[in-house]
Amino acid sequence: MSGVRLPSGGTLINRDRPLTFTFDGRSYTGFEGDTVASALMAAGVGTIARSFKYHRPRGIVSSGPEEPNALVTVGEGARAEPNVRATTAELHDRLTATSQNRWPSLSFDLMSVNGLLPPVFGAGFYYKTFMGPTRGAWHVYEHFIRRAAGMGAASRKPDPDRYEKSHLFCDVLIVGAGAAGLSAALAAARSGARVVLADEGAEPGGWLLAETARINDIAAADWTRAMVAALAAYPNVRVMPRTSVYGYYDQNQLAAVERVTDHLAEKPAHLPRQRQWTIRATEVVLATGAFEQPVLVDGNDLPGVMLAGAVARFAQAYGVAAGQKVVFFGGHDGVWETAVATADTGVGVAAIVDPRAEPATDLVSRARTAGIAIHAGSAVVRVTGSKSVSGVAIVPVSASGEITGAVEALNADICATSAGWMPAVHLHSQAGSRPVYDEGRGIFLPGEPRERWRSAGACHGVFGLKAALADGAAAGRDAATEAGFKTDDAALPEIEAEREPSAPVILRSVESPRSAKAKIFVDQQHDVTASDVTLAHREGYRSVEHLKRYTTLGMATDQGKTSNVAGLSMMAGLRGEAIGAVGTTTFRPPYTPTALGAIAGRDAGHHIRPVRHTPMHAWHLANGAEMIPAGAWMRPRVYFKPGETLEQAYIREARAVRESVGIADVSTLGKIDVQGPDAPEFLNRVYSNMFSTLAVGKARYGLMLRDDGILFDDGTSWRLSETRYLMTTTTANASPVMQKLEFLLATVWPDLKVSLASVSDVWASIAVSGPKSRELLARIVDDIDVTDEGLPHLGVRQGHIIGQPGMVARLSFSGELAYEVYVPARFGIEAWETLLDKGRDLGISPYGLEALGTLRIEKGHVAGSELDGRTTAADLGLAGMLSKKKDFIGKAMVNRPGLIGENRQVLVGLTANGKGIPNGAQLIRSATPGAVERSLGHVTANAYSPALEGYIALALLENGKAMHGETLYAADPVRNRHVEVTVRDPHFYDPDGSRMHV
Amino acid sequence: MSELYPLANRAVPGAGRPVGTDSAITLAERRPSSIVEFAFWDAGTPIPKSIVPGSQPEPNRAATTPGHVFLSVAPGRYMAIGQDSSLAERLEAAIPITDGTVVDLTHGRAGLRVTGVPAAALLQKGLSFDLDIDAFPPMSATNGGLHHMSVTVIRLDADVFDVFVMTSLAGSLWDWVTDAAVEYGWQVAAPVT
Repeated sequence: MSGVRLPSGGTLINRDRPLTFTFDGRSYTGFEGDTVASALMAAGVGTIARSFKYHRPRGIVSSGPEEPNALVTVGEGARAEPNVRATTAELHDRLTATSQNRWPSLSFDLMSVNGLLPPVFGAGFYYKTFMGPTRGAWHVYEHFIRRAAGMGAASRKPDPDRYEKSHLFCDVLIVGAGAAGLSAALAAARSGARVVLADEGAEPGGWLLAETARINDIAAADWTRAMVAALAAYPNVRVMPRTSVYGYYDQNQLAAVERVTDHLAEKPAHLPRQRQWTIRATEVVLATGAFEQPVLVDGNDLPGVMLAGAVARFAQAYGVAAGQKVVFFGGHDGVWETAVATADTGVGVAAIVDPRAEPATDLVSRARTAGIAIHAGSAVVRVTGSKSVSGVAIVPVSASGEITGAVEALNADICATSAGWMPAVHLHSQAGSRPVYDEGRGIFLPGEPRERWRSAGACHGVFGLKAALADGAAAGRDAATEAGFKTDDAALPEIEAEREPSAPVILRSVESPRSAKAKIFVDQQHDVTASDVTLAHREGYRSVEHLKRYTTLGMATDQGKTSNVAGLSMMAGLRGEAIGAVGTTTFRPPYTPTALGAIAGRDAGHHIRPVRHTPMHAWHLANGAEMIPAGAWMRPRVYFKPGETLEQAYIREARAVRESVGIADVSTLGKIDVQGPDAPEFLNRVYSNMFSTLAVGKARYGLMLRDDGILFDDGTSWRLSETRYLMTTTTANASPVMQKLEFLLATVWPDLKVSLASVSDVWASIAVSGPKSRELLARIVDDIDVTDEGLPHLGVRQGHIIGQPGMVARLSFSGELAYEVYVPARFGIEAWETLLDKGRDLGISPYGLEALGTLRIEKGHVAGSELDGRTTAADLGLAGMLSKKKDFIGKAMVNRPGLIGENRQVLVGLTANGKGIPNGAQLIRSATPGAVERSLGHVTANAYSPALEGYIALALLENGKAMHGETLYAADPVRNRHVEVTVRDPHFYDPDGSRMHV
Repeated sequence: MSELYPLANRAVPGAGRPVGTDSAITLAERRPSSIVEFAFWDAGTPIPKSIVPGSQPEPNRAATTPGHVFLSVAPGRYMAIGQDSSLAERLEAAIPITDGTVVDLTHGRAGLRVTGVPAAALLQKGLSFDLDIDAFPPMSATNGGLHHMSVTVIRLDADVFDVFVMTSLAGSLWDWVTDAAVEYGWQVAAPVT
């Protein structure tokens, strides 16, 4: 390949701003506006990459996002991004690019030995080699295969860049700012609609920036820039360059990624590298253009075999000659126009090869004037060369494509082919519209819209500049009108007269005289050859979906933008059917490769999800608490003292509760304000036990069941007035309970006058527990009688605490005399510190989740690990709480056969002799570690009991009541534990509850 | 008695992270004396004249009285924010249980005022409803989701928003906003009552 920078020209580059960059460590120069591909081509670099399987040298094929071959790694270290298309990567100063999938170097790749074994590595290699009896071989060879085949490797270092996400709303979204998109935007903009024009290019304009025709008597690129500037001046228009719309989802929601700083040498730290946009558009105009398709010939993967339009675009837009002996090959007029336009830029065009015997005379004349040799009625049957194109072999062909004469060799350094342009229907298809094949024109067109979009320009087969501008304007007006805006019919720009194209030849591939020796690559990115397609057909993989999976045709980063149609065409030929009957595979997002970082945005690490803090959180942190997550909350686990282990810390805290007084932060409990004349009836229906009879100023423990009779949640509800309750829930179920209750009121019992409000965050809640809790409480309340008579067990009082309006309820989770103290959240720390201060002489200690769990295990109280979505009230010894006098949610199902019977796992206690009982361990009869035996149950919660001075646990055990006194084993083979346990009643401590009734 | 506002330790006046020397976003903790939610059994029941003597708040809009703002957050359901610490009591007196309910959420919400030209763009990173000035003009209010958090958003002016979140999520709201504001630069102003 002999690319060179032309002495002038290049609509996209700024020759006054030279840039330096490296490729594989070697320094090169380019210009501002170059892509990595154009700069490398200008520097004469022909081989950019090695192929996926066979490590064949590959060069630049296209000039855009469809590029299958020229993939490079851009950046270094943690910022190294693999598989970047050199054709879209904007050059910046000091950019570092590296070739991929080669060893030891790009020019000398030892792994190219794979190329000698294509019959072995052909389609279905893995399925044939690593299935059945030999499937185990995969584990032996996987490492080597992965090393030998592939693309670039991602950095294993954390991505240091910032990615952000945002939402965007508009009346009209226009995807693509080529001729049609720009025209659509101008038409929609005039209506006053909110217009967003998104274009993946560094500069909006698409192929207009490489257009030779003049518009309104000025160069197309200049007209384009003037129109973009005019659009940007509209207050209702947002022009978004470097923005790839990659996904089209339901309800006109689209996804796009904006490259914010990729093109900058100095990337400001405050800006994201990329920004993901979720776009909600009332109406959409898809002006996504078309992709030129190659003609597949023998040797078509040599560096220097390119798409015809790309050769022209590199010359027009970047001032780069891809070669000096370019041979154009194709069966339509566009190839001639492209060749002549390319020659006009100074690129040496050697010949045009056209299978049509009588091409249009005006084109022939123009080509001759440009000094281009003409080979009409001929076809290129082979591209020759070792590491790049050195020539092409052409033969005379008949109208039906049969070879009619001898091979002639032409000197060439570039073979530029074109099988015509295929509409880019990816987004249309993602939006649910299957492409429809137009047999006459040989192109896929968008199907019927199922979302609110319309097409404009080449993406629905409207080719030609004048037609695209008119079509775009009509689409823009239509979209704005449908969005509710008034539009006008502004005059279209004046275009030089365009010639009417003559009938094309649908030419996708050419058979080689070399037959089996020919190397015709259909999908260059995945090294899928024509013989692979034939093999797939022969072996029965004839559906396009099977063809794709069996051969990998159309997979990987380019998603077959230049290979799918050729592959389908071949399969259609082999099946003897039309392409339309064969169909296409399904297009799915993303349209072009999208960085995972952009999709994640800032939802990573510390920001992955919100965290809830209690009002006393800052105090916990400042006073040695180890915090652990409990759902969305952070809760104190223990408050370490110097030198303590976790077990020592929680035992000390639990002892304080048993012997004097402790305080725990229980603000995380769900709290729901239930108000209304029907509140008592409502609670009767949602709880299994009666609440309408609860006296004002009293609390009651309640159970909620799911519709299927399984336990849902438990907690206390406090009757604050005749029409108002404060319902408490478990921490974990606060939201699910609220949602369930709101659902019931909205849909099942809309007649009930009940209003719900979450007040979980209104109150700081502190459990004050222990034999000295009453004495302590008396020191902080202002107007509440906390004597046993004034505040009896399950009593609730409203009054003032540390001078603030609050509530006290006499409730116990620990089994000791205990209270829950509620103060307004902003006074939480004040109340907490006051309790510690006033209780210092009583031996007060704060206690965390570990001690709280220990105390409840000693009492046999159930919590989330027992309410696990599988247990019933009877399983946990709470059957007595299922009212027989009233109906309630779940009652109808609670006694169904599956939920009753001796084989149910029920709550039991376990003790062990000097050994901790592993949480989650399975209960089995065998004393032999590792014994394979059916589990009888499992441990749900474990602790060292300071009250019993031994290790205890709660468990769910089959027929558990009958097992009291039996010896079992808590088997935990994962952690290599096997502990002998004795089954007993779960109420280890103070079973008659006398300690909390003092 | 020491009252600790949810963002007191974070939204410290003078703190910030400018871009160069510029901070296009100003953050300040909102510290209203009252935040009260009230609802009527009949969604068509007007707010008593003793509370809102003038125009009733339209859906997703705010109405103001001296020292108060009233938001319509759902049919028949309102939120009142104001400097009157007895607001909940006045509402309870004005709305008997036969008409509706009143819940004092003053301590259950943390508030943050976001001010600056890019304030809408900043919040649009997290809010999935349209913040365009025509779609959500000044004195609009609604409940929405922001980074998995339920928030109440009020647009007071083109570039001024109040965001209220559950008190326990104040830290996460702060983390999200200050991170999202990095590209604009941000600074903290004195709390707003």
